[in-house]
Amino acid sequence: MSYRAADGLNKALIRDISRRKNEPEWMLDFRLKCLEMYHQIDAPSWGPDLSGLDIAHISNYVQPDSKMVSSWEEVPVGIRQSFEDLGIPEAEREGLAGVGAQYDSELVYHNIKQATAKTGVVYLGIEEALNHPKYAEIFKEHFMQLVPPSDHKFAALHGALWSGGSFVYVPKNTSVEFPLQSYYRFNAPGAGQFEHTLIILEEGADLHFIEGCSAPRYNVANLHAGCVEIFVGKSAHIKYSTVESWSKNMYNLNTKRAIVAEGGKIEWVSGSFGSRVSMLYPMGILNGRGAGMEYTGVSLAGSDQDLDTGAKVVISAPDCYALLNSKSIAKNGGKNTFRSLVKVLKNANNSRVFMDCKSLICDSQSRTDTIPVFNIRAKNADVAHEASVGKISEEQINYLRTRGLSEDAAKSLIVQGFTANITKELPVEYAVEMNNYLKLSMEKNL
Amino acid sequence: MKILRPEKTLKDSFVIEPGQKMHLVIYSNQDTTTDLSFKLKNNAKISIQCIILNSGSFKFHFEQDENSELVFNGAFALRYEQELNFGYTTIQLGRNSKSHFELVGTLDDKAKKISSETIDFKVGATNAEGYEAEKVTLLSNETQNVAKPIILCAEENMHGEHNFSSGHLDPETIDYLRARGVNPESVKRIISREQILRVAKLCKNEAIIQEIEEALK
Repeated sequence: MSYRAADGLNKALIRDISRRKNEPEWMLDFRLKCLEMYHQIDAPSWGPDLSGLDIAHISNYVQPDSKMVSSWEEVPVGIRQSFEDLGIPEAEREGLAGVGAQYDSELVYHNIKQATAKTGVVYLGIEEALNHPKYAEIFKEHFMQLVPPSDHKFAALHGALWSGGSFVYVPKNTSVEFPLQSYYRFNAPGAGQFEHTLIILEEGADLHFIEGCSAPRYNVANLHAGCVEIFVGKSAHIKYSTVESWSKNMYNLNTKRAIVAEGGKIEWVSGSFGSRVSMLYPMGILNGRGAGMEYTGVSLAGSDQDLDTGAKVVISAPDCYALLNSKSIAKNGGKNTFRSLVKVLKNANNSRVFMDCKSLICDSQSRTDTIPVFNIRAKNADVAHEASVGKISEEQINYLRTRGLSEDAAKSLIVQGFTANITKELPVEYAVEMNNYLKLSMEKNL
Repeated sequence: MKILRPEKTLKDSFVIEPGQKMHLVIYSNQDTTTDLSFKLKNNAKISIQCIILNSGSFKFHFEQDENSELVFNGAFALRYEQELNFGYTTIQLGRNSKSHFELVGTLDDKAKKISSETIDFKVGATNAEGYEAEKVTLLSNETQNVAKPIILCAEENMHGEHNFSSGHLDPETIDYLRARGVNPESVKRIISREQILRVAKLCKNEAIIQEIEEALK
């Protein structure tokens, strides 16, 4: 039987979630402390308008009518069909090392291919890790250490309500040949989803992790306040790709953070297309000599959308580097904001940061803002930033029109070219999906 | 040309009438709070050189109507525990309005600079152009350079651009100067001095250039 908690947020709900998950006492205590913090911390005084989000009118836990299984045949037909429509089982068969599929508040499917599991790679549902005889300690050591609940109001909310998500552990010098993918499907109207992803890469490990999210559109607000924590060991590497196409009633207030040891590297690849409001700034803490971060992001805001996205990097060791590359498009009255923080601490000598940020604005009903912040304290660090904002070039449109394209088709092609360096960072099937989305969005005014 | 030497506090506002031009030089060698606002009417032009050699708070606010042009060149050299709080905002309201902002400077010892530069394109600022650039050289590991270069845009047909860089002295320049017998401490002074004088010379007033050169000694 599926279950939907009553709207609102209180201690009884927290106790109920914890009881349903058979959690240890420490986790219930942790959740209750987070709830207190949530009430104490103010909502951000900057950024998009969150007044349409009323937590008293959100159901913060929706359990689907299914247990987590490792065979698609065991997933109830209705839920399975949603994932079939999204092409998840097919993608798994063709080129993924493992898949996690979440439906509302709980995982319904989690599986890792045997060949990958044999290398010692662990890919579990996050609740499994919490209660696992071998991984419970590792879980406790890392869970919400990188994103403490005191970080901001919605991190505290996440700490109180987290449910579902994935736990990944990649052993020393192990390279995961094919990506792992977690997909979050949000089906319940007026509800919240709070999955937690915890990834630990030991020294020399290598992983590509893909996160996908979608939801049907309702006329009530939905809330997504997930959290991703990534621990990148010495000389390890992770590419974390996200394609977010939430529906336009979604408040997407997600927090993603990685800490990178000596010689390690985090790559964030981020496509933001959906949501009514997004506040998403993946962050890297470069903590060891020679650590690196790359951020590649594209964001398309259409009517009724306010997408506030960007990246943050804190460099606290020498010889580190960060490359941030963002492209954004605002159309049909949409609002796009690129927001970033680059902090280079005293001992980050010989570190380098380059940030490039380009925005297109397609009409005078739309808006695009660029708000970077730099705080540089290291003498021998080089930080450079370039940003530009403008419209689609008339010259380019006219050129394409002389070759028989309609104005909309020309604009669509130009936008696809504008974002090409980002799409090429995505796995092929996501790049195709993204280009199709951009094409439809530009030509059909979706 | 108007020369302003702000003392403790300077707060003023200026209206540049249609078609008029204004040339303003601001030279500050003492701790000061300066707050200046400017309204540029249609076809008005303003050119500002701002030289800062001490702590202080400087706020510049511009509103630009049609075909107006703003050119701002600023330079600072701070050392010891000097602290500069610098704010620049231009609101581009009119068609074909243009703004060009450049700020260069050096921070030495425990000096700190906090800057915020905003270009705000409002609806109707068709064909407007806005540019802002900031280049800061850090000469010590105890300095702090904070910058917030912002572009806000509600108009489709415009072009806005900003560049920011923060870094150390170019090793080639250091080597070049050292090869000519200049010691490392003097290299710092030469770099600071050159940046300041490059901006000072834009004002084309020998008396003020000489005064700044004297101060730099």
